[in-house]
Amino acid sequence: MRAFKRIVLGLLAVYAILFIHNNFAFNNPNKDNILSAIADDHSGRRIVLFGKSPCEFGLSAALIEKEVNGHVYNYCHNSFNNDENLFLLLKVLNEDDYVVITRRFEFAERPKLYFLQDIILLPLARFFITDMMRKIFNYHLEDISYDRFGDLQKFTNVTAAKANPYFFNGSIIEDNLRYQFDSIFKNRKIAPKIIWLTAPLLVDENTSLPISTVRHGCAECPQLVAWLPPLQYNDPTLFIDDKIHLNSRGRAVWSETVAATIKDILAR
Amino acid sequence: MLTKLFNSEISARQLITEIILILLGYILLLYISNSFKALLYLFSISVGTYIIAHIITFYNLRLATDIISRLIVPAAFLAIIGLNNAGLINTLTGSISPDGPKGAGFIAMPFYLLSASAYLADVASWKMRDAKPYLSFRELALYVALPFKLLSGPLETPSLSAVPRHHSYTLSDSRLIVGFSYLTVGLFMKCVIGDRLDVRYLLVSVDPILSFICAAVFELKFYFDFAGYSLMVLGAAKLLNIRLTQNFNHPFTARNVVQFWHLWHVSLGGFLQKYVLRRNLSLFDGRESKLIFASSIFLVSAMWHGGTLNYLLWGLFHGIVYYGYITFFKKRDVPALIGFVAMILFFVLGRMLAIDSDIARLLVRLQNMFDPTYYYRNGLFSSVDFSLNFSQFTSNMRAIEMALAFIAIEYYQSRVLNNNNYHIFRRPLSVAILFIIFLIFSVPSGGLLYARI
Repeated sequence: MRAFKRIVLGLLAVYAILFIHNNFAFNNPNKDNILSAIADDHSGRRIVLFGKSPCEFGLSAALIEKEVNGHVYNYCHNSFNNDENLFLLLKVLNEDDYVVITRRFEFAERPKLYFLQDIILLPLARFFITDMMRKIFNYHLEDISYDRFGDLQKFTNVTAAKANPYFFNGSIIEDNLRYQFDSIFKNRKIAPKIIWLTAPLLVDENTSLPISTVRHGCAECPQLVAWLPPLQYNDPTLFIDDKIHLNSRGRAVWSETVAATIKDILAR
Repeated sequence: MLTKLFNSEISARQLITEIILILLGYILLLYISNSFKALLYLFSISVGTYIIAHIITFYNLRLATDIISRLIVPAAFLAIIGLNNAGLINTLTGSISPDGPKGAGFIAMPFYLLSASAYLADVASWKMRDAKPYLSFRELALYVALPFKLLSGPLETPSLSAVPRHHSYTLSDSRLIVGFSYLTVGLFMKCVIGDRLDVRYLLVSVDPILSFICAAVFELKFYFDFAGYSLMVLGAAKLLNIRLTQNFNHPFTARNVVQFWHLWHVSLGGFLQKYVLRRNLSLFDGRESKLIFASSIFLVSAMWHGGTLNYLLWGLFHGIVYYGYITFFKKRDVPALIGFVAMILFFVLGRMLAIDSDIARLLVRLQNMFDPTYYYRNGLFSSVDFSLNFSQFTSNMRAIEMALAFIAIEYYQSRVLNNNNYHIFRRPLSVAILFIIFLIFSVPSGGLLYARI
């Protein structure tokens, strides 16, 4: 029993470290230098890409900067505490700057107990553990290293097998979209302008999701310049998986589209 | 001072802990419903139940007391079905559909209504036997709102979940070990296996083979999801020395349908047995009519699971299988292999009825499945789009392999070692391995498949 108690206490100690990291040490150490670079850059308009994995895999600041007038930074964070990083970013930007936020299209009803997922069940633990192991053993460090724009260096060329069918329910999607807007805009003064992207979807060639029917107005979001609904791609060779993560080809294609959109918005 | 204020027989520390637990129950409800109305309903149910219990206790209304003892729980089930059909509430379980709760204020009401009616049935029963009534408002409020109970999904009976007087909430070494081991097994089952299993896209198919695969994987998902979070909550409750029913106990090792219902969703089975079956069995004469009544309990259970037609079919299926087993097979020696295959068919066909609320599609699926000419007309695999469905299916394969390995170990433990209560998974080394696997490989969805809250 004494040995069992020690095992339990040891596991609880590991859990406690991961819990603190998951909920408090939210800053992505791999991107600290990007945040510093953004804060130190006062040479003109700054355009910052922000989001989770669909953004990190799907957008390239280097490609977008070639097309638009301004310095573009990639501050996307695969797997790190997203909103907290955004609020860190907003502190260093002003009203001339733009933040391009990428979120995924949420088709499923948001679980009422999602706080279990975010706080107690430690969704970030496995990323923390694998990153730490890579650093300790110098193993595939290029998987977590970034260039000066903040773009992921090593990029997979895996391609998806085929599109996944989607269960399209307009009211659930609108509810999730409203929740995404509220989590950023509600009761908060934001200086920079926001361009909102929803990550592209891999859909079967015989499928066309009625995305234009989704209502997306946000009366309490004065800084929201535009919402770009998800593009529907039929080509699985642009994707890593069957859902929303793009590969290197897909990143180039989507970045080009996003660059054209940003250029258009800046020209208005 | 506090104990004097509440006129209680328990210590101040215990009183404070129980008040905190009640408040946690209310806070949890507020969080999931986002509606103060829900709190008001819950409080009203507790107060109303307390008043009715006092009326039963202090007035000598023998006929009314007898009726309450026998029929209040069945009446509560009917009320839930009525509210569900009127569109006011969703049952907490329901079938796989994207619709959310219809009224946030009524969320979790089926749980609270049934808990309250069970309490009144017990009070009436005690009154009938001239036993000492159990009338503390604090204990009633704790029983109805107990947060563990709501999260784990079981319908606890008052005598089971009531916290004993002179109860200690202090965490001891043995409670830490036992509670943590259950918690770890639950985390592994739900977050590593259950949350990875998702074959909803196969629901659209009416092909017999794909339908069978879909139902089989759903059966695994229901088990690993529901048993997983039940064990998580059981473990957390054990840390506080609160007794909850262990809701699952290796159900797939059951040798027959009767044994299965003693191992699967044990709290619901026990609740129905206590408040519907035993209380009213004396109303029926003769073995045959008693057996038909016992079999019809599955219809009540079906309606609790969801007020849709497919659940009615599900209840009929289980009632008929139960009746058939007791009548024809209980006292016969059935070869082990036939029994094994029959149980697999029982699991899968039952789940097939439960998962699809599109009744037209379900009927076509059943027609195809039992129509031998379907295969003659279409060939065995001709209508199956393997390129689409099986490429998606492979994403579930790792989880299915883990699930089957887990069940094989359960089978070995239960049938060969004659142990239960997930003993082999709760040994020190197993707990360490399962917990580390959970930390690295969990994909928590945050949703509870069974109690759709």
